[in-house]
This record gives sequence, structure tokens and C-alpha cells, in this order.
Amino acid sequence: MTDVTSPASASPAPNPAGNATAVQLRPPRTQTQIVWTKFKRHRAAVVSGIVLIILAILCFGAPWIAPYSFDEIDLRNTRQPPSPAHLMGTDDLGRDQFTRLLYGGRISLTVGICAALFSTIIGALIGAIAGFYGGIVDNASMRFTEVIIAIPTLPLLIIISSYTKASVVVIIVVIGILSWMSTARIVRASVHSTKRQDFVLGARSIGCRNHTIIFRHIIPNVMGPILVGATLGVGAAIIVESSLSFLGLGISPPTPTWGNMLQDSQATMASKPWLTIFPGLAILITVLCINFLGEGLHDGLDPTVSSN
Amino acid sequence: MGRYIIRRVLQMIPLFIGISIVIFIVIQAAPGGPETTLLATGRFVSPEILEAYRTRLGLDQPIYVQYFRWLTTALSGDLGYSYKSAQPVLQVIAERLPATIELMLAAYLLAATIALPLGVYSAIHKYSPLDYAGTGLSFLGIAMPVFWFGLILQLVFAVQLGWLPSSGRETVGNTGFIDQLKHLIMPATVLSLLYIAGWSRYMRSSFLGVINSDYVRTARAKGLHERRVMLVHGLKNAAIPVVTIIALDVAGLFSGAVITETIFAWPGIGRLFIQAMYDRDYPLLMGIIMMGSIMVVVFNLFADIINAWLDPRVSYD
Amino acid sequence: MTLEIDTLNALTSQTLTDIEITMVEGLIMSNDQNTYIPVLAKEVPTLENGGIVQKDDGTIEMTWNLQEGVKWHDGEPFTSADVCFTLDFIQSEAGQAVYNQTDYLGITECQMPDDKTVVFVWDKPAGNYATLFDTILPKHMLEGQDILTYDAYNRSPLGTGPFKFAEWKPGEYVRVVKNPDYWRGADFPKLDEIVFSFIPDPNTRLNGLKAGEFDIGQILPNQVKEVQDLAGYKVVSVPSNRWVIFETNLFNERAKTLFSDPNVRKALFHAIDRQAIVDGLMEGTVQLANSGISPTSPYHNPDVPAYEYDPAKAAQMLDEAGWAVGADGIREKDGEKLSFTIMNRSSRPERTAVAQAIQAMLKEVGVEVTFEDLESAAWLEKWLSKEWEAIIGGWIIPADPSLTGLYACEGSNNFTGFCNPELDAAMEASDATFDFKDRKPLMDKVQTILAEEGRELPIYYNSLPYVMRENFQGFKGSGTNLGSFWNSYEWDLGN
Repeated sequence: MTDVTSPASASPAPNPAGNATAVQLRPPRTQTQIVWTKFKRHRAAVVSGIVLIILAILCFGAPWIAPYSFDEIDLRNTRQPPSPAHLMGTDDLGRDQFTRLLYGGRISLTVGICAALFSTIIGALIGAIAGFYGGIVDNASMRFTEVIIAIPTLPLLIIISSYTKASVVVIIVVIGILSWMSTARIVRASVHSTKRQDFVLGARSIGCRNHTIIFRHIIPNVMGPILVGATLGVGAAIIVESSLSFLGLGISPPTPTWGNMLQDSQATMASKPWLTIFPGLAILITVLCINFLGEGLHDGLDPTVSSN
Repeated sequence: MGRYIIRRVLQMIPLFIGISIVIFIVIQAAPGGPETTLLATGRFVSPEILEAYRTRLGLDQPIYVQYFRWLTTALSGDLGYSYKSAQPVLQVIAERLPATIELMLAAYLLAATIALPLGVYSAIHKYSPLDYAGTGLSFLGIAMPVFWFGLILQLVFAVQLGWLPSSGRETVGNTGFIDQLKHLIMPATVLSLLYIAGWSRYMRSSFLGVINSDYVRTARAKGLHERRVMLVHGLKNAAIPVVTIIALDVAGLFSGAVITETIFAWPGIGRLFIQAMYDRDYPLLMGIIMMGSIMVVVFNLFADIINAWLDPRVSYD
Repeated sequence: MTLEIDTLNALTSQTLTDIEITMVEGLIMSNDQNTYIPVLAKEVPTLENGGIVQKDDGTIEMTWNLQEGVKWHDGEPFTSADVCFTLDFIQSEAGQAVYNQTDYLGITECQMPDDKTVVFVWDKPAGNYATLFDTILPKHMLEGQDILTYDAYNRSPLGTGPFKFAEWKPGEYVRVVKNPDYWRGADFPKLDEIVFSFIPDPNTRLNGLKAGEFDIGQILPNQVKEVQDLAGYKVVSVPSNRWVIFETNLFNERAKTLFSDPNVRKALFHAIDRQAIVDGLMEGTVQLANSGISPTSPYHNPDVPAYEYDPAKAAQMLDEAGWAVGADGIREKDGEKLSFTIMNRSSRPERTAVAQAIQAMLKEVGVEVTFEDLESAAWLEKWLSKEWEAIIGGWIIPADPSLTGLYACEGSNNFTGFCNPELDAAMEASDATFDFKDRKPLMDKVQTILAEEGRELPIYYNSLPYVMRENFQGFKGSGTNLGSFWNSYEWDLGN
């Protein structure tokens, strides 16, 4: 949807109505600039982006920033309230909560980003192949997609998570293989409409091979919705990881994640609130920011959304 | 229209078979089996006894044999017996279904009442402080892990304020409407939060799209009152895609109910699923997930029908 | 209540017994003193009271005199035929669903001299005979039925107990109401009804108690601090017969190369600071354990050797056993690293926390511990396969302890492959006597051998904290496998 009613309607945003070709033919830098201009107008998204970058730096820099080691226990100082020595207090085994929050963030963000990336890649591949080749390939893969969409996700996720011991990789793969379907559908629809357009026909006529066409022309063209979907997917995966922890199917200790830290502290929520507030807030702020970011990207990348 | 619906219903049959095959494989591939969860909790049971139990349940057969047996009985309307309670699966599900439907309806109503006006407001006052606030609040709903938020609500409204019961569906011995409503408030609120963000976003975009469209501009140019243009033309047309989304989201409700029902001790299908999963109660698991899937497919069809009916541009071919 | 119950059949239910115990009775019950008391029998037969007679051919006749005037909830009289019917069911193939079926198999004959007398003929002495028949089935209702699937009983059991079944709302609650014709007389039970609510999440349960919605509820040890100052409520911690242990496996080939030397096991035990686990992790809500038999039991041996926390000694013992510290700080011997995996069950977070404490403590002496966390069903399957290296385990034993099943070389519940002929002899001798005076020294010896040989490291006895209204009267919590509802007929809510 375009911004005609907004004060900044004079911006160079192209009219969405069937104008995808025009956008595509501009030099890439120009499009990036357009997107950036529009994205910047969404202030909450900009602020969220900055917050996320700071969080990511803190978490991925944990080995250099954290004052303790994440599995260093001290049974004589368990469940201590926040103090100068332990900024966020200590947990049931006397481990420094601030340290664990940073390391936990590293895992939670990794799970979120990798799961979203993984599901996007699967979805994009299946969608692109189905849309591009059409016929029986299209039919088979879309029927399969329908089957997976129809099965309620969390129950399926719960069962598959019990297959093996829960590790970071397992959780990423499990979330990934159960959340690619909408991407696949979007990509397939885009490919369907794009491949009939002039520039693709042109590319084919000069002898471009199929995979070149898929990767050079079609994927960049559906980048917008995919990017927005993937951004929101990061937040969703972080929430799913915490849900799995709640059900006892999350990543195993002593590896901290925000999800298992939050779950492990529920029993003492009222008497030791610091144990549950910090991991809870970490999830809350991160997912909130990711959603604002997704919103900003959505506004910025708008024309591509309406092109199909 | 009638032919369209019949064709869609016929297309569902292979879909259901596909779904049942996938679920059957996924369930049986999980490690451990009913023979250990139901016989050997906390003690040693000899492999012979475990094997005898598997044979009695027919689990010693190859998986395709088991599947065809399940399929043939299922087609005759019999979903088998729960391993754990030895009761018919359909009966066990029927006992729990009303609670889940009640919770879902309440959550849906609540979400729609909040999300749709919020979306319209945000669209009209785009990038205003209230747009940001509404968006932020609705995003909060999806950013808080359900199990955490549910417990916080319990601490505030049940423990501190004493306004609402902490869990359950009714006070024993009190079947009054007010009592049931009080029990419903917290779980329905938590569940509705999962949808408010999405729906208000859709409503916002959809409404924005409509008020910028040619015919609204025409109406405006004809001198119709601004508010009237917005509400009459805008709302009606903006609602079409949102109604579709609402119907499609029924699928997600089942997932959301799993954790909400556990936290609020709500006697519904979601909790039943968790227990059946820990027990490896295969027939019950099959029954529950198939039912969830059927709901998704049927509501998909509803969404398409509503869409086709509301929007003459969609053809039924 | 944590879980939805499967069936209200007390004998075959695998999940819990509290509800059934308010409705269904047996010949015996275990009390808060960790002893068996007669319920539907006038007394527990012993050699002294003449209830047990040893025949010349080695068989034993055990006579149970039943209470007079006991009626089932439907008004039918309770008789010796019900007892023998129950035994027939347990000994049948369907009786495999009864958790201690094998203990009943020594009874070769069930005689009914009259309506109120039952005589069991045993082929050999069974020291824990008093643990049996905690539930009696009504013959007049169940004869000819498939008991495992008979809904009329399994969904609404018929008993002789203080409360009668009233209703079961799936996923919500079970309600039982006062039995006006209870055989203990018009004074009992004191309560009019009990409602058991099913609340799966322990924290929701805690919130419900805090909100004053329940009269009594069980919480987790780490929640005790949350309710200590709760107005109108008191907390009673019942010491459980369940003890939590760190055990290593000798069935698994790799684990065997590490742990078959008892000095290695003992060294590891010395490196673990159990007092810190009890005080720091468990906040002092549980009691340190040195033996498998709880201090509340008359069979507890207070003098077993304890594994003092002494990391220097642990390091020295490991050095002497040939495990030298390698370049990476982990001990090794003949190319094998002293590194093993503890298998955790994800539904038991408190044990996973103990495992993490042990992991950190063993790291200090150059031993590497990794974890394998498995979901319940997967854990069970692997546990039964005996192909794991170490676990934080825990057993619960009845009030009359026989440890034979757990520790004998061929014991059915011997999951670790530990085998000691001297221990077997002591346990066998203990099982073959009926007399406490003879059994006690033998059980003392059993506990000592287990500690000296380093079979396992007992860590703590679990505790079962109950939160109840201040005016709740008559609660006498019992840590046995039969639980705290044994005297629910005496419970009352005063003013």
C-alpha cells in the first residue's frame, strides 16, 4: 500500500500498479535509496534497528564483555539479588545472570536468525522451483505445501523436537522445516507472474539457463516480501524457542537461552523477580524491535508487495 | 458457486489422506512408545512383556499395515481407542472440544473487537503518536512468551487483586454464567493477543489501500463527506482481505491453545494433546492432530468462499 | 495434582494414587511413621501373633482376619472372596499392569475358611509381605469383566473407603463425597467432600494456592520460599522415601571402562559437595542422604560411611587409579578420557540442575561431564535399554523396604549392572525372614555394603511440601509410595 495520504507523498515512490518492471530496471542503488528513504520515515523501525544492533553486539561480544563464565557455578551465592558484583543477580546455581543473559542472547538470536534464514531458503527454493517449472513439479510441491500448512504447527514441532536431544542445530532445523510454507507460496506466485514478463522472456531468448534466471531475475524481484517475512520469522523463532523450553523440549542446560532462563525462573517469580524479569524483558524487547523493523521494511519495500 | 464448493470439497479427500500419512509417520517416528510410557514408568519391565504389549496394540506390524488399518477404520468413523484411558478417541476428544471452542470464540471476539478499530484508526492517523502506541501495544502481545505473560496475569489479577480465578473453567459446584465468564477472561485475553497485532496490521494496510483507490477518490471528488467515504466505502472493501485472514488464522489457534490451556489449566484439546504426546498415545494423537488439520482445511475453504462471495473480482474456476 | 489421571482403578493406574486412596482401601496402608498398619484387616499377621505359620515342607500359611461390618459403597458386604478375586486378577496376564505384580507371585493358594478370614499359602518366606494388597477389588462388580478396560469401574471405582466417587470432569477435577456408612463409624470421615483439581503447570498451582482457591496443595521444594509468609496458610514438608542419587552404569561398555574400578567411583563421590547442593541449590528444603532408606523408616541405618567433600583426596585417588591429568586438563588413562555423559530427563528440571552442579564440581578435578537431555518417553526408552553412562536417578521404596529388586545382581530393577555376592546374600537373608529384629541388622549391612562399595552416591532425600490452610487438621503426611492421603478420613477444616 502506498503512502499517498502521508505528508511525504511527494517522495519518489513508484506507483504500485503493475510497475514492478520499472523498479527492476532501475540501477540497484537507486532502489536501495528509495527503500532507505521510506524506511527512515518509520521512526520506530529506525530506533528498533539501532536497539537490535546494540543487543547483537552485546550478545555476540559476550566472551569479551561478560564478567564471568556462563557455567561458573557458586553454590554459596545462589539466587542473590542484583548487586555491584552481579548486576542482574545470580541464578539457582549461583551463576551470574548478566553473563548468562548475554550468552543466552547469543543462542536465542542465533536460533532466531538461522531458523528464519533456513526456512526462507527452503521456502524460496520450493516456491521458485514450483513456480518456474510449473506442471507436475508445481502441482506436487504445492500439494505437499498444503499438507504441511494444514497440520497445526506447534503440535508437529513438539513431536519432532522429541526425536533427539535438543541442541541449537536441532531446534533451528525443526523450526526451519515447519515455517517455510508461506514463503514458498509467495515466491511461487511471484515467479508465476514474473516469468511471463518481458525481461525474463528476454533473458531466456538470449540463452540464459534456468538457474541463472531463477537466481538473477526472479529471486531479486521477490526479495521484498521475503525479507519482511524473514525478519518477522526471527522474532517468531525466538518465541517458539521459549515455548519449547516451557514444554521441556528446548535447548538443554547448561547452555543458556532466554527461553530456558525464563522458564527455569518461573517458580520463584514473586520472591525472586529479577530471575524472571531480565530474560523476559530481553525476549520482549528483541521481538518487539524485530516487529517494528519488519514493519519499517514492509513500508519501505512496498511496491514489490503490490506487484503480484 | 455450488459446483465450486463441491469441487473444493472433493479436492480435500486426497489432501486429508496426505495429511494423515504425514502425521502417522511423524508420530510413530518419535522415540519411545506407549509400551514404555504406559507400562514402564519408574520400573523395569522385561522386553518380553513390552513386546507382548506392542503386539496387543498391533504396533509390531509394519507401519504401512498399521496405517491402512487406521485408515480403513477411520473411514468408517471409528478413530480407535486411547491407549491410556481405553476410551474411544472420538469420545475423549468430544469431552474436551467444547472447552477449546469456547476459549477460541472468546479470544476471536476479543481480538476482532480490538484489532479492527485499531487498524482503521492507525490507517487514518498514520504515523501519529496513537498509531505508534496502538502498534506498539499490539506488538507487545506477540513479543511476550505466553507462559510468562499468563503467569504475570495470574499474579496480578488472581493473587494480588483477587478479581479473577487463577485457572480452570469453572468453580466446582458453581455453574453460573458470571463464574464461567470470570474464568474465561485471562486465558481468552492471552490467546487473543496472538491475533491482535496481525489483524490490526492487516486492517491498517487494507484500509490504506482502499482509501487510496480510485473509486474512493471518485466518491470523494463527488463531494461525499470525508468521514462517510472512509467508513462506508473504506470499511466494507477493506474488510474483505481481513475476513479471509481471520478465517485462515483458525489454524494457529489450535497451536496457541496448547500453551494457554496448559498455563490456565483449561480442560481443552491443547492440554489433551500435550498429555497424549508424553504418553505416546498414538490413536489419540492421530485423532487430535487430524481434527486440527481438518479444521484448518475447512476454514480455508470458508475463507475462499467468503472471499469469492464478497469480492466479485475473484472467479471460482 | 499434576497430571490428568488415566483411570481410577487404583491397581492399574500408573499415574497417581491420592484420589483412589480416598475411595478404595486394601488390607494394609502405610502411615506417616513409615510402617504398615492394618485397614480392612484386624491386624497384620506376624510370627508372634500366630498369623504366620511356617510348615515343615517350607511353605508358609498366612492368615488375615478381616474387619467386620465393612460394606462396599453399593451396600454389598466386603468378604474374603473379594481378596482372593483381587489376587487372581493380579496373578493373571492382565495383572502385568500392576506395578509390583512379581511380589505377589509367591502366593500359591488363596483359601477362604469363612467370609472374614483369608489364608495365603506362600512357597517361600517373603519379608515384604506387608506391602501387598493395598487395594482390594469388588468381586461382585468385576467378575467376568475385562478389568483393564471396564469403564464402569475405571471411571467411577467402587470401594470401601471414607469417600465415594461423585463426578469426574475430564481435564478439570474429580469430586468425591462422604461415605455415610463408613465402617470406622459415624465420626468419620469428617469432611463432606474432596475436590481434586488437575492443574498441569506447577506455577499455576502455586498461584492458585496464593490466591486462596484451594485448601491444600503440593508444591515443589523450590517454591517453599514463595509461600512461607502466606497469610492463612501453613507449609508442611513431608520427608519423602524418594532419594536422589548419582549413579554410573556398568552395563554400557564405555562407562564400564571408566567406572568398573570402585576407587574411581569413590573418587568422583568425594569430589561432589552434596551439602552445597542441599543448601545452595535446594535452599535447605531437602535432607542430605547417605543411604537409600529414609531416616523416617525403622530400617534406616544412621552409621553408614558418608562421602565427605574432599576434592584433594578425590584428585589423589584418581591419580592412584592411573587417571593422570592430560594436556587439556581432562584426566586420561590408556588413551581413554575420563569424560562421560549424564542422561537427563527434561521433565525433571531439579535433577538437571543437580547434574549441572556435579558437572562443575567434577570439572575441578579434571573430569569432563556432558549432558544428554531427553524428553520423557525417549529417556524411558534409553533408560530401559541400559545403554547410558550416568544419570541422576531416584527411587521410592515402600515403607517395608526390600532392596533386592534394585541391587541384586539379577534384580529386575538393577539398571547399573552393579553386582556384589555378599550384598546379595544379605538381601536374600533379609527377604527370607518375617521378623523385624532379624531383618534390621541385615538391612543395616545392606546399606553399609552399598556405601562402602560406592554403588551410587546418595545426594538427598526428596521432600514433599504441602501448603494448607492454617485450620486444616489431621494432616499426617507420609513419604511412602502410597502418599499422604492415607488418613483422609481424619482430615478436617476447623475454624
